[in-house]
Amino acid sequence: MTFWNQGKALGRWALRAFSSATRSSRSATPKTVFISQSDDIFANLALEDWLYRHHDFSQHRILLLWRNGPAVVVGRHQNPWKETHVGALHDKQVVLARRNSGGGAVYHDQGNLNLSFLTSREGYNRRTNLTVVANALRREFGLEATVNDRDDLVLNGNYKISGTAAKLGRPNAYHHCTLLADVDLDNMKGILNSDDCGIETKATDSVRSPVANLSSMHPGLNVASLMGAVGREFLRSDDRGVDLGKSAISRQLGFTLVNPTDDWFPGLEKSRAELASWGWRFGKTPDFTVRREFAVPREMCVTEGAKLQVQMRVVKGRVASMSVTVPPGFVSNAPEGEVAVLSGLEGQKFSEEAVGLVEAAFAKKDKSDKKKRFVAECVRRVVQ
Amino acid sequence: MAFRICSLAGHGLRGAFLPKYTQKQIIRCFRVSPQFLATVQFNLSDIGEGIKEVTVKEWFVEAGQKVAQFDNICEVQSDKASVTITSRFDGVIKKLHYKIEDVAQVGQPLVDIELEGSEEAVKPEESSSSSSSSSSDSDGELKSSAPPPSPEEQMPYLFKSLAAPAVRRVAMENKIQISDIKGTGKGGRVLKEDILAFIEAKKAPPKVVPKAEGDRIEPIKGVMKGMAKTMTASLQIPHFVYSDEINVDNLVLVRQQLKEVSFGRGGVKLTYMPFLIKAASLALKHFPVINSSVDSECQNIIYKADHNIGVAMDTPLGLVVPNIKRVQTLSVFDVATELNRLMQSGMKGSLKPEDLTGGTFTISNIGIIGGTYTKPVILPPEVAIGAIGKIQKVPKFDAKGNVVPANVMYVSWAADHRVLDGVTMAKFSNKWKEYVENPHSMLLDLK
Repeated sequence: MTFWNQGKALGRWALRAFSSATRSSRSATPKTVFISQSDDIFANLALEDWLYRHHDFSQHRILLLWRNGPAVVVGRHQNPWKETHVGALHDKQVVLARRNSGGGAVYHDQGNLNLSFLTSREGYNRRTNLTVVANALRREFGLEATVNDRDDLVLNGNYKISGTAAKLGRPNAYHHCTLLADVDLDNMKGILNSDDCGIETKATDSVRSPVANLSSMHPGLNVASLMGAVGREFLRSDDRGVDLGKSAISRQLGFTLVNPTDDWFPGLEKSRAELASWGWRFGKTPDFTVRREFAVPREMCVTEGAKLQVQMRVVKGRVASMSVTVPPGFVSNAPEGEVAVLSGLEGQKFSEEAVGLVEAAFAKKDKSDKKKRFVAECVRRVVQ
Repeated sequence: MAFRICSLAGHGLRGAFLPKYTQKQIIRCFRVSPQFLATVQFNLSDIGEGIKEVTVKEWFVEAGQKVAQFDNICEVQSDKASVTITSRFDGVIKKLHYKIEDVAQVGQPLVDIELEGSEEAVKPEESSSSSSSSSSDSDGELKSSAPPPSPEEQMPYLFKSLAAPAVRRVAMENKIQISDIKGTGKGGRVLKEDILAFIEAKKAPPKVVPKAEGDRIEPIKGVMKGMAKTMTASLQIPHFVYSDEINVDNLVLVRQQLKEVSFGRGGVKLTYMPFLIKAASLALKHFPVINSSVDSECQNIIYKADHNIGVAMDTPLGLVVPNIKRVQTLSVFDVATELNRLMQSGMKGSLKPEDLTGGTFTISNIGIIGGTYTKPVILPPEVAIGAIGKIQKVPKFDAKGNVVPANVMYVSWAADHRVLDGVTMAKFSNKWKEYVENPHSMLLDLK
């Protein structure tokens, strides 16, 4: 069992504890709470994935608690350009990540706690997990949270405080959710936009709901105290979410700090690199078409209310084809109607780089600067 | 010719020498009966949580692709859950019922799979890979050996307990309950080997072959890992061949002298093989990596302490490769005795399963039929094999430049290039050649 023999305290201690834990109650599988010491979203996602792929959960359950620096995390089959303003993320120092589970887009920052309940496929049960969290909130903070029919945790019947997603495979499965402890909600609203950006796609949609921070209901509540509360509740509950009493905690395997690195989890670095790669984050976007119209400034075109339309077909995150439809009277010495622009653009990543190419291409062709710049500007707005 | 005979060795190995099943197994080998190629509709099983339909998001297989049980078939999504669907059967995908983004219904067919009939060809790889992977863990991967519970069974008669149709027939013929047998295949499947071992154990107390101490497991690292990575093709062992010419004048003399002595001791026939086998064992002492086995994912090498050297034999029922156990502890005479016993058993068709399993290195004496340079096929999980060509009298130049007759024998070694390189094999061959060309030198290394 190479994982346990890494020579860290984790292995030796947990191994000894296993033998004593099996003597405990039969309906309570031995449990551990892992707390990640990293706040890198990719490392944490890689850690969750590593445990899902490699750990034996037939006699063990793990609750992994983690938090990250500012990030937007989209679901496995979502379109990031639809969920957020990708071009602006860099300036705001927010990273974009794609997780392995389904569901919608969420915003993480240091005020958000992530919980991953890792079990065997047979042990998977979302409602049980969410009930445990609700119990924790009630017991330690006196907050009344309920689980609604979309499997969201809702406070006082109104405000969503958690988003949920899951991944089921064989032999393992996990259910993870967020908890808004003390998140910068304004920032979040600005980033998770639902602007009509002209994208037509079959990618998973996000369903939006009004949200609130737990700290607004209970001043002084922060991620650290939340970790303790949820962890303890997890340890004292049995496999169906029924509380076994405080003494049950000491019969479990307790809290462990883990470090998502190759030393602890061989192969993790490779997984992290893959999750951080462009090919995963953007390349895995389901194929889509984006179409936007822009009003042409009066001085560039004789006709009233003229519109320029830019259309692109994006496959695996790269531009497969692009066309610009110019209104009549826009360009005096070029054919009107759809202008299939440069095959040089095909295969380019759907990003600012593509715009740069359009500009360069136009600069070669025509002298009417302003109009070309206008077209390029339209393309830029499409891409963002 | 020689090549083909060598490659049959793996297939004939399991089925050929178990008296009761002999005829039936061989026939099953060569006939493809329609009932073993049934196409099964694999339904989308219940995902739980009252979910009735899901969207197909990604396919991991396509029509015509071979799948094994537990391979990933596709990924579906239902609201917030992303579910990976794995195959319940071994076989070939015949048809995908949905395209990406289609809505799939729970309980309706997802894919059609044509089931694999007989498991003959797969057997040696499978059973040996599962036994070596359970003794070592790579990347902390823990393989649970208990069969996974699967409450939703679409084909109950095939999968009550995990075993292939061919295996079930053998069990039925012998009135054995499959559930009584502990499976050693993937996911706890019962393999033909398990049943045969079970039967043998029931019949007579098994001859206790003393377990070797000193087996050493070493993960593949560094340069070797690089070599392993670049050399591994998907299912095949990458072979390379090293051939050489041995002057066996001295060996011929020695054998002449000792033939009578050996015969005098209970009629033991002394051929060249005992010398060649013992020389191989002595050489293997210097190159233990050649007496190793590697698991199917090429993650670990297991250095075997015992030299169980297999000898390919042509018998009335085909080619078999029984092995002589612990050659490192045997004298040349012991090897000859054991070899005689195996040959006689082979002729009669009474070789036992222990004789046929546990080999760590093989020598094939194809020279008794003919041939010079050959490319023998390695028997997994071994990593090397040698084939001896026939002894010929050829003219050679001696030290003074005169032409003299010499008895010359050709040897070809094939080795697993993921684990062994040319230099190792060459050095091993030279060591072996030293002993064979100068049999007296073996006296120095007798233990």
